[in-house]
Amino acid sequence: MSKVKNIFKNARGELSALIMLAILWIIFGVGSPYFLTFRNIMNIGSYMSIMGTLAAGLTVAMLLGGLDVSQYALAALGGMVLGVLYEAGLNPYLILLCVVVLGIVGGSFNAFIITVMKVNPIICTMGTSFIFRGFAYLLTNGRYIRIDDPVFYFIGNGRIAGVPACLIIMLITYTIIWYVLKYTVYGRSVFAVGGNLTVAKLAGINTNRVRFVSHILAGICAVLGGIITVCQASSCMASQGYGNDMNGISAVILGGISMAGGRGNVWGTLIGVGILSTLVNGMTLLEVNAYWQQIIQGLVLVSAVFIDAMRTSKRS
Amino acid sequence: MKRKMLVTLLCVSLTAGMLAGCGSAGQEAPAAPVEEAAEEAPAEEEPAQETPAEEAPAAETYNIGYCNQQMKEDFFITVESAIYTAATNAGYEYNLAITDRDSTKMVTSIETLVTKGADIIVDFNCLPEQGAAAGEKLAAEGIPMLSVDSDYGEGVYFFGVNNYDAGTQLGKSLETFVDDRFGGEVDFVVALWDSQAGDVVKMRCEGATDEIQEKYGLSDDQVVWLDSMADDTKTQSMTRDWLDAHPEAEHIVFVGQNDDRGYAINQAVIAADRVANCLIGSHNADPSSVENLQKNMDDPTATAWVTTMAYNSFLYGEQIVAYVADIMAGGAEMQRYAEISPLTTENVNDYIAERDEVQANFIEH
Repeated sequence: MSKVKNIFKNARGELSALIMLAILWIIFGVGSPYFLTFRNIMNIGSYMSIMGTLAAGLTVAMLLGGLDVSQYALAALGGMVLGVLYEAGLNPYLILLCVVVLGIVGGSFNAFIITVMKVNPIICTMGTSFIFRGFAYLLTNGRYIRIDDPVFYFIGNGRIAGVPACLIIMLITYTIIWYVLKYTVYGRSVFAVGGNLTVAKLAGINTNRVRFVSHILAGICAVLGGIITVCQASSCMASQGYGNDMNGISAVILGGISMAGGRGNVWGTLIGVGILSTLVNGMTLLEVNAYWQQIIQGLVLVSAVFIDAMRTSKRS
Repeated sequence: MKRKMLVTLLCVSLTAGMLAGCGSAGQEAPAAPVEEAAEEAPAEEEPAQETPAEEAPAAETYNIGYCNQQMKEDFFITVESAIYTAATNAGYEYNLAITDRDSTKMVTSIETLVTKGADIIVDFNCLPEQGAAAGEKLAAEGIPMLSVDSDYGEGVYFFGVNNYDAGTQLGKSLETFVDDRFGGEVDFVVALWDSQAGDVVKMRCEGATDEIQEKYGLSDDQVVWLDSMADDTKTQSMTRDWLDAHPEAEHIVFVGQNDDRGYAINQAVIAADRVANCLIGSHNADPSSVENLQKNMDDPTATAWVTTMAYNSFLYGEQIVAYVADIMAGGAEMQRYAEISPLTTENVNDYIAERDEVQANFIEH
């Protein structure tokens, strides 16, 4: 009984997010006869796979107490590199590898500026988001590239036992991140550094290395999101994800990750992503006025930050 | 304790809901019959199941799924209202999804519209590559796709304008003012375009710049491209900066990708006190450009914003819904063009009269 009690206590943030998600499902389920169909649930799954993959990396960065607003730009750059290499006729698996390497390079670039040059993570990633986006445009001068390859098609649109492959990729990403955070020395260091940097340093943790690795992970997740984006749309465009940067952050906060760092769970992020994806889908199904949709999404973001502020003040 | 009970109850209801949803997927066939219907293609059969048996013309009722890229600019708002009105008047079911011109949102929105039983998808995202891929997927399900103002290629129906031709017409309209006001001299053609809108829409500017460049024998250096990134403030400041950097230029022709750009250019030209040196042409015949022309009817030289291409967005609805009916009936042509014409102070009043008459009958929703 006490074990169950502990689980509830430790997962308070995720639980409130889960309740919110459940309420949304009930509202939309009652409101639209299409919402709870298998096809629609899988549609939500496909849609959330992009934001979800990006948010998984963002979770790691935010557990350290830093924000990464360059994720969507790096995803767009990854997508454009995929397109350019595809046009050059490279093997699709080699292309995927190159894009992942790009994610490592992009993440390392962020990490270098943050850890070595000691630039504030938000300012750094704001700057690098322009750099990544600029390179994405530069690669083709803004031209779109159509992708028509069975491997990429499968990633974006294929199904395994009826479940979208991109959703499975996202779930694998979450499982890996969860495992790394929970069962490795690095993972425990992330919570330590995010919880209290000074104490972590005094405890002998190489905080710079932890932050470096975290931004690399965030970079890899960003380009994975970019790959899924391109594969779903069967084309790449440099403006992909423009203006969506706050969505991933909202999802992470909604999922119970503290903006101050050091607390949270990657599965909470997944629930947060589920909430936002459900909102988009449900509001479209219920034909909520486009302007109200914006207002509601804004309210959700404000609520998320408010909840986080409440949690932080309660703890302190 | 009560809270935990509530949590448990909600979790159970969520799980039950999911299971019920998964289980009822097949039973939902009349409401969301796409998968089964896809193999047989005749989309007319689906709505027939929803219509009471005594109503005979069931076969002519369609479910139109309209995928609109945004609801922020007047043109898109007007087109949406026009389609909704025409679809409602025709007795068709109509469902709308907004994509923010995001390709993944476009994919999921189309899927949502199909889930809601769309017999045809009308897409106004102007994303040709993504649209072509979406069209192929829809074709596999037996659902036709109709793109608006951007040709998605083989297999997808097209309605709208040829952007390059529209640009050429705008260029020709501007040329009459160049001859009248500048004595046939042009120092620069400056195009304010929006990279995010893509290559297809950019052709609206290219058509105009090519036309003017060719007619007046301008070099490539005299044709300037400024990317406004769809930002009004940026458009205004870029234009102002460019004008300040070229005080010697006396005959400048500005081409705006749409009237939002045209409005911002006009504001910058007025602020820089260069009205006499500039001519502005743009696209869409939105209220801003139309009002500007109307305001300057008594003294057309008082404004630099002399022309806008009228796409007659208020007529799109009727034309699109009629095209949809033809497509669903089978045998419709793959492309159908909208009528366009340049607006100036000469014909703006006639345009307003026609527009207001049509828009007065729009159904609020």
